[in-house]
Amino acid sequence: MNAIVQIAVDALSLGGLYALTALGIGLIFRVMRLANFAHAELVTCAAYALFALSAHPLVMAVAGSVVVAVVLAVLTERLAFRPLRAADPTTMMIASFTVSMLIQKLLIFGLGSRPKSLDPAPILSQAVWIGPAQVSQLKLVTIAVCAVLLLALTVFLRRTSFGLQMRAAAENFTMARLAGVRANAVIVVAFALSGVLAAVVALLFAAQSGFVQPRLGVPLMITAFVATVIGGMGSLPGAVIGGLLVGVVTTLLQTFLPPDLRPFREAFVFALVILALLVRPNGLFPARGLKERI
Amino acid sequence: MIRVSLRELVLRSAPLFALVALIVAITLVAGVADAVTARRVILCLVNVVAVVGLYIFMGNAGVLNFSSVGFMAIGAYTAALSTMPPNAKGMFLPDLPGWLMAAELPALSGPFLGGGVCAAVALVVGLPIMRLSGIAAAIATFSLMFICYIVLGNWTGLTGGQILLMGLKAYVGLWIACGFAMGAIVLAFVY
Repeated sequence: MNAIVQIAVDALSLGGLYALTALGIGLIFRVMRLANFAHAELVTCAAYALFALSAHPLVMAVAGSVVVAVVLAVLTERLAFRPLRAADPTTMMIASFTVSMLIQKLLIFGLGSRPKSLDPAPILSQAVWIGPAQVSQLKLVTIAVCAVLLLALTVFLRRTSFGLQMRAAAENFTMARLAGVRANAVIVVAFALSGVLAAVVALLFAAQSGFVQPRLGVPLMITAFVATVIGGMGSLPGAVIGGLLVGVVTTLLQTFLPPDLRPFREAFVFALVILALLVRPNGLFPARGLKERI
Repeated sequence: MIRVSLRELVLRSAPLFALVALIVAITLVAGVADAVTARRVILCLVNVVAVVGLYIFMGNAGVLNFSSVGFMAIGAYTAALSTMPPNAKGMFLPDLPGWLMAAELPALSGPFLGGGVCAAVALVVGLPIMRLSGIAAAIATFSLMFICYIVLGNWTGLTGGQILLMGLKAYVGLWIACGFAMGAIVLAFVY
């Protein structure tokens, strides 16, 4: 019973992180068909902002990191992705790789590649009892924050007029523009939202791992991207479910694999990814209007 | 059988001759330059082999192929394990099976053996993956590369994990690299 509660909390908190990152990637993919690999750098820069502001109260530090992430996201859109809007998705993906590498190297150049320790929310490191099991407060907060953000995003997309415009642009960009949706505004808001999500992920991830380094966001981004593809590129519920699924599978593998096979658990996860893609190439919840004929 | 006139054959092979001439010219220039430049040119020619190999697939199929990098790793370790002298192997990789520990093939057979092993692996894993297309195929090849990375990086008994393996024979000089680069270009052209 203890073990099940702990495994569940671990799985949901890891899955929640992946789901939030996958949402950030999926939002941009829906409106622009761009697989944004620079999202990792948004997380990294937000974490560095937290590090820079660590002497100030938590609220200020979080606000600062959100601002940094949003500004960076909007800047990358304006400078790197807007000129390429008419190019094909592969070109845009390679461009996002380039932006990601540029920011990484700039960070290494400016701040050094050694990890710096960071503890934004020390009060959360205490353990809390759920029944007989002892779980980390931080993981519970992660799950709660993820749930709240998902809910907020869903409400935004379904109930507000801007959310409606974004969904329209996602389904058929040209038709939406003809109907009066302002394309630039929609895309900039999508990037800004992904910046906010990246900042939240940065806070939670940095609190869990305790340090920040230039390649912080990369493993998170890779797994979240894969989760997005499994869940169905361009489908937001798919991204969330893909993220949760990968988190759960990783945690289960970590728990139940024999010890000498444990270092290879990522290999097992990716083998399952290949299997999932062979069975459902469009993802588990393919978005309408985005289905390529495979 | 398609009858192609000699003139047409020469005209169609013109790009091939131009590229091969370029490679030979670079090698000749590097041959008279200092050692640092020569080393950079060797690295450049090895990269030519890598890129040409990658593009034999990507150019013809139009699918982003990340797994090529994983195969490079497999080939590198195969070549290393088969050509390293046994005492170097014993120092870094004490847990190798007996036949692998004792194997010491001539240095130049390393890349060909590595290539053969990679071809076999690629055939086995590529057959199911090539049913996909578009971004699903790109992600599947990405997963393959990641699997190679994790497996080779953590299988300490076979590859030493993250440690450096030293004692490999340094046989890639300027002209060997040039030869491989030319071979890659010719192969790409003929395919």
